[in-house]
Amino acid sequence: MATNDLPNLPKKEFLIMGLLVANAGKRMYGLELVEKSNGELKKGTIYVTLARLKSKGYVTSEREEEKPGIATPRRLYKVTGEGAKVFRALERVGGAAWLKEAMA
Amino acid sequence: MSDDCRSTEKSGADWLELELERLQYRVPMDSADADWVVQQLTARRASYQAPFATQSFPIMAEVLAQDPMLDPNESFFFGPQTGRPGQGTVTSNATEESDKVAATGQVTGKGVDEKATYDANVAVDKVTAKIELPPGSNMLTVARQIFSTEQVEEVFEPLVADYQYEYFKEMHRGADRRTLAAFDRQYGLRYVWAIVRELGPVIWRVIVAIGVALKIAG
Repeated sequence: MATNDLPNLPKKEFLIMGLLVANAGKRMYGLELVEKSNGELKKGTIYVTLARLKSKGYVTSEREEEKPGIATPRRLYKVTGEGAKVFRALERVGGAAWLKEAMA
Repeated sequence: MSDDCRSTEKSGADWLELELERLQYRVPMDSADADWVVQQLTARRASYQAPFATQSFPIMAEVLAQDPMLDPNESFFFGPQTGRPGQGTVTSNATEESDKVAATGQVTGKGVDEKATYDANVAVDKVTAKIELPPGSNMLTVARQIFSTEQVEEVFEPLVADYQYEYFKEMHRGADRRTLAAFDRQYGLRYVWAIVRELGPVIWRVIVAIGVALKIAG
């Protein structure tokens, strides 16, 4: 894939993808992602960003199992194969899309 | 109370003692009152395990009758128990007499005939016990009116789920009302911010459309 053909992936999306790829195979909660981002991700915006990643097809999500005492089940997120490929490609060329322009 | 309820009480003895101590510190009680509070707290502890949808019940009226400083919002901690042998069913009613409240509470062990009834007969400043939903319920209701099902499922439900998860985790640790109120404020702001983020592209398109229209017209 040529550098210029790489899809756009803003910084926060890139960061989320990095965390999900690093935990490949393991589904993660939004709060887990926030905790592991060392303050880069915020609880108020994580789900908006995850929803965008999902609409691009880079992550999948599903509700956690319903248990007694849980009013609203949380969602678990996992990177897709395509998402992992895009992330690795961007990583190889130096990171997120905001670096892509600088490299063009 | 049933034996099973007593065993629940034993397994959570530390927690109960702490709660009881807290209440006794705030409200001088005789031993009969203390027994009643233990029963209430046992049922309250058991109710944490019940499906939350069943927990909208104004049972705090009794404790509020003794301690008007307790938050009426704690009423949602209580609720009928479902399908768990040995857990208590808690019911209550509060009647108003002018600006005073007389509260009556009843604790019933499931599967046994024995009933422990407490009549507070305490006249204190009027306290309104209201039916409470889990935190974040209103947020979801409003979001469902504004956004698509997909947006609600992907953005607002997880946000509210985190809110409830963190809120109840702190509540189980015995957090005070101030800590819990802080969660209300923080998640309220996050909710508003999420709405802004979701509506942002729409608002931007409207602004651009108005700009284009003005350019064409002018």
